[in-house]
Order: sequence, then C-alpha cells, then structure tokens
Amino acid sequence: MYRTLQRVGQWIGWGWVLGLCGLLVTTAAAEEILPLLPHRGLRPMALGNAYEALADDLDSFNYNPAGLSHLERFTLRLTPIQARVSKDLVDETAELPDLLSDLDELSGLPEDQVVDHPAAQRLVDRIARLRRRDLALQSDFVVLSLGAPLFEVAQTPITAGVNVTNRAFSWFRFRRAGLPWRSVVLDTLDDRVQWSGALEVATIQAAVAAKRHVELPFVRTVRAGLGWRWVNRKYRNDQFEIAEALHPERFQEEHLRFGADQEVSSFQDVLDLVDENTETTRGFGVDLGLQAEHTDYLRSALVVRSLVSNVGEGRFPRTLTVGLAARPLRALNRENDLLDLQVAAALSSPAGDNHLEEFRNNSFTDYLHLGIEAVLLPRSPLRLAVRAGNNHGYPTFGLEVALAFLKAGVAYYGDLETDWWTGGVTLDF
Amino acid sequence: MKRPLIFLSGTLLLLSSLFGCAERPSAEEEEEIPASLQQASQALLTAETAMERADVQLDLDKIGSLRSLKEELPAPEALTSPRVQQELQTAIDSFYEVFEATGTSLDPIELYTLEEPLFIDTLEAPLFQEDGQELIEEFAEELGLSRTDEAMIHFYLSYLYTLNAVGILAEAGGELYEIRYSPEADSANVYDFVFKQNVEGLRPREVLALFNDQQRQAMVNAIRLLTGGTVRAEEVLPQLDEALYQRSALFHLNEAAERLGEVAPDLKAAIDELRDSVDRELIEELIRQLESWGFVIETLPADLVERILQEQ
Repeated sequence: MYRTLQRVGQWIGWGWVLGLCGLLVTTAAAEEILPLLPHRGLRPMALGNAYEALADDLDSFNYNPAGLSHLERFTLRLTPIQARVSKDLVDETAELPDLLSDLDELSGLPEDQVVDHPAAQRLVDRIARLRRRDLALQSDFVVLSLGAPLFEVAQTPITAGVNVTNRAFSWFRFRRAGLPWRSVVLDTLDDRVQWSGALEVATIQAAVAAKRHVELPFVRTVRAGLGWRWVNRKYRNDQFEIAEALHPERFQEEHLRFGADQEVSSFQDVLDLVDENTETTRGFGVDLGLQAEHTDYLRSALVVRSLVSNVGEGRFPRTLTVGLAARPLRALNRENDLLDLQVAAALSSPAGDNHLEEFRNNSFTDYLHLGIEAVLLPRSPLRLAVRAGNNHGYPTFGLEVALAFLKAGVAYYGDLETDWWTGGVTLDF
Repeated sequence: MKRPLIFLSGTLLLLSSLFGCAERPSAEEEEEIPASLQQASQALLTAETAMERADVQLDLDKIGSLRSLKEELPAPEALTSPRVQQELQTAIDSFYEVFEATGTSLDPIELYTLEEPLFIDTLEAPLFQEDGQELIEEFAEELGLSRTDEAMIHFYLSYLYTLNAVGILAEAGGELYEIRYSPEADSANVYDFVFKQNVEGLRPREVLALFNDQQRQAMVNAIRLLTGGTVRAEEVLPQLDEALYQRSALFHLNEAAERLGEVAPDLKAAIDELRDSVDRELIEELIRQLESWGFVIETLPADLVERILQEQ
C-alpha cells in the first residue's frame, strides 16, 4: 500500500513538473522573441537534435546541462571551426563557373546579339530560380568547452563546465511579392530580399550538474543540470526590393551605413563598419535539464531551454523538450567491441530554439526529433560514427571520423526553414 | 524474450521514421498569390493575354529590351485592324481593373483651357485639383501593389494608349497622310505624321478641308488618347468611351517615369526613350501644327502647354 502511494506520489510530482513547464511555455508574454542560435555540434545535428536524453558530453551545454554529469574527468574541447552552408548556397556556388562563363560569353558579343543568345536566357532562368533560394552561411569558430567533476555533496557528485562560442552568420532569403507578371524580370523587380547578419563574440555559457543514485521504481539515477548563457550579439535584419538594388547610391544611403569615401584597409576598419551597421544586443538565458536512467540501456530527459531569459527588449523562445534514448545492443545483451548503437527520440516545442514559427508545417512532425547512431570500433583510438535523424520532419545524416583526440566530420541537416551542409573539426582532450 | 522484441521493433520503427515526412512548400506553392492580389492578378493576366493576341507584347526578359524599346514598337499597319484595336482596349481596361482591385486611384490630368490659340499666353487655373492621394497610396501599399508594379502598369498603359492612337490615325490616313514608321535605333522618332499631299502655303481652313470626317475624328480622338486634351475640328469633338480611356499616354508616361525614377534610374532611361519618341516627337510635333491645319485646341495638359510655351 505504501509503495503504491509512493508511486502515485512520484507520478504526481512528475506531472507537476511537466505541467509547470508547459505553463511556462504557453504563457509566454507578448514581447519580442529573438532566435537563440545555439551552437549545434555535428553529432546532435546529425541525430536530428534528438539529443536531450543522449547528452553525455560537452554538447550538453546547448541541449541538456544535466548531461555534463556524465563527465568523469577533466575534459577540454576545442572546435577551431565548424561551418554551415545552406544547400541552396552550395547549389548556387556549384553553378558559379557556368554563370561566369555565360557572363564572359555575353560580354564578348555585339550588343544586338546579346538578347537572343542562349546565355542571356540562362541568366534569366537563373534569376527565376534564385527567387526561391535561402542563401545562408554560418561559421562557428574557436568554440572552447571544458568541464570537470568538482566535488561531492551528500553522495552527490557535482560537475561544472564553461563554454565560449564565437560566430559569424549571414542569411539572404528571397521571397516573391507583388503581381505575377509573365516576364520573369518584371515579376522579380519587386521581390523582397530579407537579410540577416549576426556576429557573436564570446558568448559564454556556464553549467553545473549533479548526479544522484535513487531507489525509485523504474529510476536508478537522476541527473539535474542548470545552465546559464550570456549572449553578446551584433545583428542586423533588413529587407529591400530587388529594384532598389538598381539604384546603388540610394540603396547604399538607405541600407548601408558606409560612406562613399570610407576606406576599408585594416581589421579595425572592418570592426568599425560592423559597428556602424549593426545593433548590439546582450542578454542572458537560463536552461534547466533533467535526465533519468531507468535501466542501463534506457534514459529519459526533460529540458526547458531559456526558462528565464532577457535579451535587449525581448527574450529567447522558451522551449520544452522531453526525450528518450536507448542502447539496443546493451538491451539485447549483444554489446561488443565492433559496433555500438544508440537511438534517441524527442518531442519539443514546435518552432524550436530559433523561433522558426513562420516555417511550421502545423503537423506532428513540427514536434519531432529522431536519431540513430552507429559507432564502429567504439573502444578503439580510430572510430567511425554514422548517424541519421529526423529534425522537425526533415532528414539529417552525418559521418564522423575520430582518431585519438581529433574528430572531423560532415553532416546534412534539415530544419524547418532550409537544408544545410555542415562540417568541422574538433579536438577532444 | 519480450525485451529483444520490444527493442528490435522500436529500433526498426525509429529507422523507418528517420527519413523526413515533412515537406517544404513547392515552387508553385511559394508562387501562390496572396488573396488581396487575386483579382488584380487575374486582370493582369487578361491584359497580358490581350497584348499577346494583338501581337504587341514586349519581351522584357530579353536583356536590353527596355533599352531598345524604340525597336520594339510595332508598325502602324499592324495596329489598324478592328481586332487589334479591340485587344488594345481590352488590355487597357484590364490594367485599369488592376488599379481598381488594389485600391490604387489615379491623379486627375491637370488640364488648361485655351481660349486663344496656343501660341498666345492664355494659361488658366487647372480644371481639376489633386485630392487625398496620400491616403490612396497608403491603401494601395496595404493591398500589395508595389512601386514597380504600379510603375510598370503605368508604362504599359502609356504604351497601349500610344499604339491605340497610332492605329486610329494610320487607319484613317487614306490618300491624305500616313504614319511613317522608323524603328531604327538612330532615328529621332518612330512614328511620324506625314502628309501625302503638299499642304505648304495653304491656309488652316484649306488644310482642314482636306480632312474628311473620318480623318478629323481620328485626329481629335488620337490627340485625346495621347494627351488627354480636347481638340476640335469645326464641330467634330473626341468621341471615345470615357469610362475606358480614363487618362492618356502622356499622363501614364509621366507617372511611370516618376515612379521608376524613384526606384530604378536604369529603367527610367528606357521610359525616357519612349517619352522622346512619342511625347517629344509625335505629340509635340502634332500639337505645334494642329492650329495651322485648322484644328482648335480647347484643352491640353498643363505641363505640355508650359513646355511648349517655354520652348517657343
């Protein structure tokens, strides 16, 4: 009887936590919401961001601070660079030689032959295609993370860590607007180009996590973590009509704070230019995460990112995620040195941390994150990880090679808005 | 036994779900026209189709078409058939429907009444005044008619009015006059009004007597289409559907130039070429000679009168 009551009490407790989190999510104040733009490592991206229950390394800073408690020694990670390029930009860049060749061909023709030349038509077709493109480039550079177990309080090991991220980000979105003229040129003139640029220098995260073995039904270990981030972001959001670009002087006057006689000859000039053309926003956010180990092969998680946040005159989107991760081979008593397998799933707030509200599909896939990871030779110095996933309904996959402390990999990552290719190098000590 | 089965099926289920089932909007869906522009889009389609049927469409996707607009203007003979004239009217009507559907209102033409011959200074106050334009533009913006859309509709209307006028004049010319066509890039004017008979030394009344009723009607109608003003040949006044021909070639040309000047100077240069070919060469040339041919100018756009007087 007592055990039944205890169990009921535990379910009520969990229900209360979930309800509170749900309440926090749904009662968001009507203030400006800025995208969080968390640093996403190659591993979580390839796993479709189904990482909250899986988190057991320094990627925990951006997914579930409770995951830090898995660190059993001082761990340092340096990511010199991780670049992310939208698939549209990759496609356009791949065709750049053709474009240059067409332009070269056209420039050599007499003016009266330019019009009917196939290269001119290819140029028009290219413009038509460009109107549906998302051209984006993101580069995270010198990302430094470290974490270490510190001490024990009442048989509860405490782990803490710090993460510093630097990032440059640029995005051009083309959207059709106005009347549907038959002429591509006419139809394009009033199309809108939205562009965003952001530069984050020394965005700092700190997290503390604790692990506690418990004697509860279905729960063996509980991990809890609290993360704090301080964001230092210079950003610019603007939009213009294509036709405005045909008037360079006015365009520069209205959209760029850059004098005609201004020279850019040093790094300081570049910084000045960035300063003049961006707004600086600083703010903080607090994440709360829980992980529960139910067996040696099954783990669940509950995370609220940006539970509390304040940035500029707004806040980051508050996202609630529940997740599950499992090790099927361990569950089947088939663990071996050749292959390790992990699967994970998560349900999260539909628009995600970057508040991609306008791209939601309004279906169950908006909430969905799935991932599977197969690591070959998991206990050897040379390892190969193959991953696949589903992020908000869009496919992800990745390949990573690890040799001792060096890791290099590539991933394909789809989010609500567009698809990306990403690659990077990481040093794990 | 249960545990392996659960995990095997769970993993298989997960694997099968990995490949995304969400789809981004297709190109066609992204091209979807907002509801506020549906009616206007339909009217635009009708206008473009009518121009195509009349074979007077401009292929602006050909790079340089705007720059070589003079060479794109059709020959007068191609504009005289009732079928082509009907298509031009349909296109004009449909372009006005675009304005109407998007709540875009047009300024009135500022006309001056001339009680004496043009070459004597008789400027009077404008017959109409502008009203409420700012509010209307704001409304148009809400519905989504962009500056370039508005400018290009004005441009096409100007083009259609001009072709309509040239067609009417060319059709009635007979043995008296012709509309000479010189689309070459180096020619000063594309359409030139040229008498086939020698009218030099004739007095105005004698020249007018050479015009039959159809030719007189054609001239006064053409001047109305080109300028919006009223010219009379004795008792013959313009007879045009006022509901259809709401403004004039000159009016729409100025509106297009003003808007494109704000947005894209390169495109405005193309408009200026049309202005040079049609406005300066055809319209001004006709206006300068009408009185010497016995026509009476009653009203003309203020800016045209002003310019002609300044050039005297």
